[in-house]
Amino acid sequence: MRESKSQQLVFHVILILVALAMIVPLLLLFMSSITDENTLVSDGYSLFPAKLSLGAYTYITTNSSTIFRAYGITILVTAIGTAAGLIVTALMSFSLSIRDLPGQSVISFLVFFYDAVQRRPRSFIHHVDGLRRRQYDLGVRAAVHADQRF
Amino acid sequence: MPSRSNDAAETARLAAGGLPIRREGNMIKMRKLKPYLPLYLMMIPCAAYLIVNNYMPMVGIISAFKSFKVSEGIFGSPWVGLKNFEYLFRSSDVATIVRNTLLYNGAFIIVNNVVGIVLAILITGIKSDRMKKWYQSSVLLPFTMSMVVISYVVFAFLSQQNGMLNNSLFKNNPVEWYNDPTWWPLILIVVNCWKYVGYGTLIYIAGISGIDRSLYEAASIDGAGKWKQIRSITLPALVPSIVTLFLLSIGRICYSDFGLFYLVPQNSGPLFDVTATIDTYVYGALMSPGGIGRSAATGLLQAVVGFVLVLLANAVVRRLSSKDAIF
Repeated sequence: MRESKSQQLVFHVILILVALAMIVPLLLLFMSSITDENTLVSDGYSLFPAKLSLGAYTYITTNSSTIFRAYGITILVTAIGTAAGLIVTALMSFSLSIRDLPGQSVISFLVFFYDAVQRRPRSFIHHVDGLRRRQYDLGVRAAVHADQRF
Repeated sequence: MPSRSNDAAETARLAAGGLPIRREGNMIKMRKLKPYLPLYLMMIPCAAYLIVNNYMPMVGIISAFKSFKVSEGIFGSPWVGLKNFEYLFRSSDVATIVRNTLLYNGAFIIVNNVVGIVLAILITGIKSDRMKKWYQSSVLLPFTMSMVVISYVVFAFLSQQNGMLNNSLFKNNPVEWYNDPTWWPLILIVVNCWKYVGYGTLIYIAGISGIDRSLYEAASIDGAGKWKQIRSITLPALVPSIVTLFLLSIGRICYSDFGLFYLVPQNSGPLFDVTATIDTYVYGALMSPGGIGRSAATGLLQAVVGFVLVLLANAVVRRLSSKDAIF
């Protein structure tokens, strides 16, 4: 799938356009944050503003207390939440990955039932993918075993 | 799995191996749980969290059947039976919001998955590893932004006075984006794809990377062109990922991304017909008296419909190809 140079060129061009489409809005955000406020009112948001100024950032640093506290809370929640979530999930996942555990299917259902009907079932996808890969691994190994027998 | 076996010798052999035997009576079952005790202890934090956070609040479902008064709380408020559901179905907007929610979710599922697969095929077709990482990161970048920020980015593009589009492409005939509902379905689909496509792309890239390279070589030796190779090798290998993502999306088909539908259109009146969904409607109803009961009723309906759809879709998938079903 990787041979011809022209095919590579086409892929690169398309992907560069896609990457630009993803990044340009964020670039617009950044450029409008360093645009001078009067230019903003007269010319509108633009990627190439007529006049630059750091007024927005000086405003943040002078009225800093709210924003810094907000950032502090965000960082604290993310750090502690991620670490605690990782530990709790890892403990539960390891227990549930033991196939012979009595009640494993019932507990699996109770744990993942919530994930399946929630709005952001990200962890569920990883679990299902992991299960499927494990089944695939076991299946492949069984097939190889069977082959070697004969 | 040990089957129903009454043979004493086999029972003893299996018992010595430490496997739990469930059909031989309580005494043997209790003894066999002891080796698993550490595992059960490990499950305690997660179980405690789930019980307190997910299962205990289920009691609150009864507020869907009550006319909720803050002063009386959940258990003190008067019981109104199905009145909250009646209010929801009798409202004149119910056809609009249900149609919007279902159609948008359908469009999101199709567009996000198709674009995700195309991007995954493109990215895995690149030879240079460094560029591959750049493209993957750039596709994931919008996923990290909050919808609040994105609503302002869209505003920067579409604002009538100051927006980038009206000042460059449409400088001579500026379009009143926030007053004209015709373009908004497309805008919302594009914004949703922009934000969420990276996630599916990553899953599909992982799926494609797992395909054996020799399959492609064998196919090209047999004379298959690029298109044929993609259709016969890549796409079938991605079917498990597609089915998983599809099943999960089906369960959420009654929900909508609140930030997308409430914040991005900037709550503009003329756009109500094309941007109102069940969640924005419920949010609006929250402020009125008794609104909490109605919101609870709507939420209950969404969850029940989503659950039933997941079970149905899972049963259909299991009938068609049993290894792809989730449960």
